[in-house]
Amino acid sequence: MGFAIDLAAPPTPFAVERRFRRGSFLVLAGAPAGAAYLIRAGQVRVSVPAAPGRETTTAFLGPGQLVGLGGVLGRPTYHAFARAVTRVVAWSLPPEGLLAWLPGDPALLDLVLSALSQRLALAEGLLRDVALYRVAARIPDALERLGPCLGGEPPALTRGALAALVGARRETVSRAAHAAGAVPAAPAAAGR
Amino acid sequence: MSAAGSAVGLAPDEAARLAEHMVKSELLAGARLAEGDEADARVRLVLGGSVRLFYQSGGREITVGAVGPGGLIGLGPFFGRPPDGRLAEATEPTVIATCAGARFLDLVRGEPRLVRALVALLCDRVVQAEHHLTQLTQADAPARLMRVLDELAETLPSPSGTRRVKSVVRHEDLAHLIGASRETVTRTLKRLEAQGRIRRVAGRIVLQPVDLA
Repeated sequence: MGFAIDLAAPPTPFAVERRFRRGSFLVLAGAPAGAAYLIRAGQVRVSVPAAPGRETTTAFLGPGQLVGLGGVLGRPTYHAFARAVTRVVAWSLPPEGLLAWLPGDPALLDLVLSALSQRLALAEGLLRDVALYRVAARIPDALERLGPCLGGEPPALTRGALAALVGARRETVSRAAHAAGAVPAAPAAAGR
Repeated sequence: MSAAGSAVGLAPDEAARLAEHMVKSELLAGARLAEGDEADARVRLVLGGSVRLFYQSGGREITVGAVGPGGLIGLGPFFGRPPDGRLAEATEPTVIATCAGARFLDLVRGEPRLVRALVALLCDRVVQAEHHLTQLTQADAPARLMRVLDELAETLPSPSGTRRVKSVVRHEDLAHLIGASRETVTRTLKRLEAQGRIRRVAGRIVLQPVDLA
């Protein structure tokens, strides 16, 4: 997927490149929302805490997506965890600086609005799927909605991660995938 | 309805200024907008009233958002969101202003306050939707219902610690918000009342103070 800007170059003069190992957190839910991250490479799992020790996976995001929305909203803390599921390279941006910069940079503004629109479409689609559809119907829909959020990259999903995304148990997802043959063989169905 | 809605939007003066370049129309309660129609890549700015965003399937519904004054509908398709059957319906007499997505963005670009408001509005919608999803997948029906009632109730408690839900809400609307059937909502409300967690006074739901003892 092509982007309106070159993600390899700093999107603003004050952007700082950050690298994250697989499994490390870009942001922690409840932590001070000091930065937003524009993903340059790799994939991130977003999850929102629920009851103590429990969380809901709400998105997998890739290049061109923005993580750390709490700061952009002017909230003191992040609302979600963002954890690298592959090696991730991201541009760290102070939220206030980003908001001040966007009006003068139409290409970056379009990228940000597009990223947020895609993430909203994913979240609303998952809401629809979880409330109204059987697991077998949720899977292809979730995978289709993930495409734009991952910048065209194939999702680095295990079956467990896919199950978390569609609000089902891993076993149910495996059964549904087997019965429907609807899930691509890899990597989404490459259960671990 | 604020439980699935947004507290963030364009300020009234900003919305009014934008609306001068858009086509205004009035909707009756229950009127539907042509959401998700590819040929209809228009942005709607809500100037007054409220629009509910929802999906329908097999006779069931889930409300995914409510857009009040200063809120926007229809920006997604401009950024490649495919039609996915999302519906939009005025929940009360509503005034909207409409224009093509490209025109709307031209109006917004270069205006720092509008850009800031637009980005915040979308961020807020994402955060709300992700919280709603978490609520739907993690909690049981009573917990989901209590959370929705809590969001719909007055912020400040009365001297006795009770908090009244701001308006009369139909069981059906609550069902659409929590992804349950109307019958489940009716049953759950009765159970919550029996447990002393809510009272019903003149058709309004009143949240009882939490007993920390």
